[in-house]
Amino acid sequence: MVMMDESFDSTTFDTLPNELVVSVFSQLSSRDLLSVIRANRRFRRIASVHARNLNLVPVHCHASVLDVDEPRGSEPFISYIFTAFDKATNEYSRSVRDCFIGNDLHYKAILVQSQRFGGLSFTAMRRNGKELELGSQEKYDEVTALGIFSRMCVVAVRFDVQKQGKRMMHRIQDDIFVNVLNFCEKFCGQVRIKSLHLTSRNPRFHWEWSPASVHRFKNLNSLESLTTEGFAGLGMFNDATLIPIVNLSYLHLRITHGHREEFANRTTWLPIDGSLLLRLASLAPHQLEVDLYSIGFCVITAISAKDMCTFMRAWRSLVQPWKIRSINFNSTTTISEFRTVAHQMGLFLKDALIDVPYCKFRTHHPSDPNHVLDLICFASTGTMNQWSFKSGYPEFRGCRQRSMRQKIAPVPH
Amino acid sequence: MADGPSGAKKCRDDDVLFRVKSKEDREYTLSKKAAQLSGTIHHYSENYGLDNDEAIMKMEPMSLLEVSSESLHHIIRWCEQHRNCPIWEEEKWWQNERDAELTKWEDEFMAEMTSETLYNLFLAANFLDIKCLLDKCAQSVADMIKGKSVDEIREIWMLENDFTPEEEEKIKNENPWEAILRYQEQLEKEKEEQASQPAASS
Repeated sequence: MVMMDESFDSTTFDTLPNELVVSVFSQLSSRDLLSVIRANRRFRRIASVHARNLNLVPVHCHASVLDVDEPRGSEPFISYIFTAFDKATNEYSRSVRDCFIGNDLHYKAILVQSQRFGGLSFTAMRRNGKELELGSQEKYDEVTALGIFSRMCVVAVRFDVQKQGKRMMHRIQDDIFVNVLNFCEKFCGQVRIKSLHLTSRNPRFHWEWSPASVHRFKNLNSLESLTTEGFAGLGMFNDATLIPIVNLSYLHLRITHGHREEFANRTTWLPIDGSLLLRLASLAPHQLEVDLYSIGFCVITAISAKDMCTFMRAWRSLVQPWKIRSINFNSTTTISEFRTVAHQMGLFLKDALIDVPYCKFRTHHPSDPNHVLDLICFASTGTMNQWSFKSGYPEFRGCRQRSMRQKIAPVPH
Repeated sequence: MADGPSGAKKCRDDDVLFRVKSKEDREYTLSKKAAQLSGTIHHYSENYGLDNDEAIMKMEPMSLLEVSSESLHHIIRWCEQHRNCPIWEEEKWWQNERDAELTKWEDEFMAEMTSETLYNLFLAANFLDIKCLLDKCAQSVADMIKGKSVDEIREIWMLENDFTPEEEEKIKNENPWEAILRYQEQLEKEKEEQASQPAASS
């Protein structure tokens, strides 16, 4: 702790050169920074100019898009809600609800809407417990709103896209994705997207991306969590190499209720094969969790028995065991087919792979024999089998299950 | 001047010494290895052909007109202590996992500083382009105001409030993030009240 020197000429910290003030500000938390910029004009100006180097308030952006096919060909209507969250209190990247509401109840949410005659309206929304109240609003002028946005860092974006009308010939593929990110970059102090949630609402009129959007998505290397709803077998996932996986540890491709009905009557082949698994194995992200429409029995990946064997071999060849929370997918590969291919590839030699009755295969990591990788076949419906990889210490899994049972066991009177 | 935390490294007899001069015209020496932490000294060496031991031994002292004797003394202590660390060009090496003893030494070194010494050291580190010391100084200055209210920050850094009352009120009202600050202040008040209650009752 620095000692305060009362004889010291008191104006000095205000006379530090700008670059040193910025280096001090960059060490402050977003909350301390908010206090400092209220101290005097110079600090306020410096914080605005150098926002990109500072710890800003982390926020979620919820972009709600309505794209209606109108004769006059109007632009999609996009409204944005920015909510703050405290990552110390919740797993912000996982909860869909928190993404919309935010989890830091001390902050107000901000609603941004485009005006009928151009420009944007900025409104602060109050909270009522965990709900956002649209009723009690405060309007902001543009200068004030821009000041607020300059102190925000967008870390998560949720898209809710509803396309309506007949299939618009001129806008089947759109730039909504890239336009929303451009909006955030234009107004907010920083954009470092770690979590992305993409929802296509209309099963009869899917949200399809333009090449510019796909290109932008492919380069989101800060992405840690990706969830999609209603994207089965469409657009960008026709090529799994487009998914940015450098930091990805959570990938969930889901089908919404509306889309489930659509897929119930036909089988959809997902062009994701073992190459995605091998790309993930090369990076070995901590606590990886992947779900490729495993709940939608009609959505089947192209992951083959050979892909599964190659993945197990890749896992074993890592210097340290890699903890995988789960990788769930559907495949046409049967248990006997996997067993045959594993024999052919020599996986059963020297007990490297153990066939556990009735539908599990287990391998131990060479550097830590207690750490295992399990491949489990859960369910089978004719042509489709549901598979899952999991790794960890099996005795701990047992302990956890026991402790859960103890928790729910009735207390004897 | 204080000698600094225990275990501080000094130049060895067999070191090639680099000569520097403070703005008060006092001469100091530091080892060639320690001098490599400074970008300014590195560029000076390049410009004046100080690329071999013989040239360094024959050199005229480098004038550091922006650096006081006191700050230079502290700078030399810092550099000698970090003489085995990566040279000035390497970015952010100090953020990696490193020697706990060195970290402890740095904390003790900073704890000796008054606000005035820290201010001058910060400027001197900037002039000499010693990145690891710059970062540590910035951290120490930031630590002074962590968790403090706006008024406390003004008091600690001795800043003049140059906002008009109207501007101040506007800033308060326009900021939707203000709620958290008010909440913090309220918590602090409650804490103070709780702390004062037992004293009053006793």
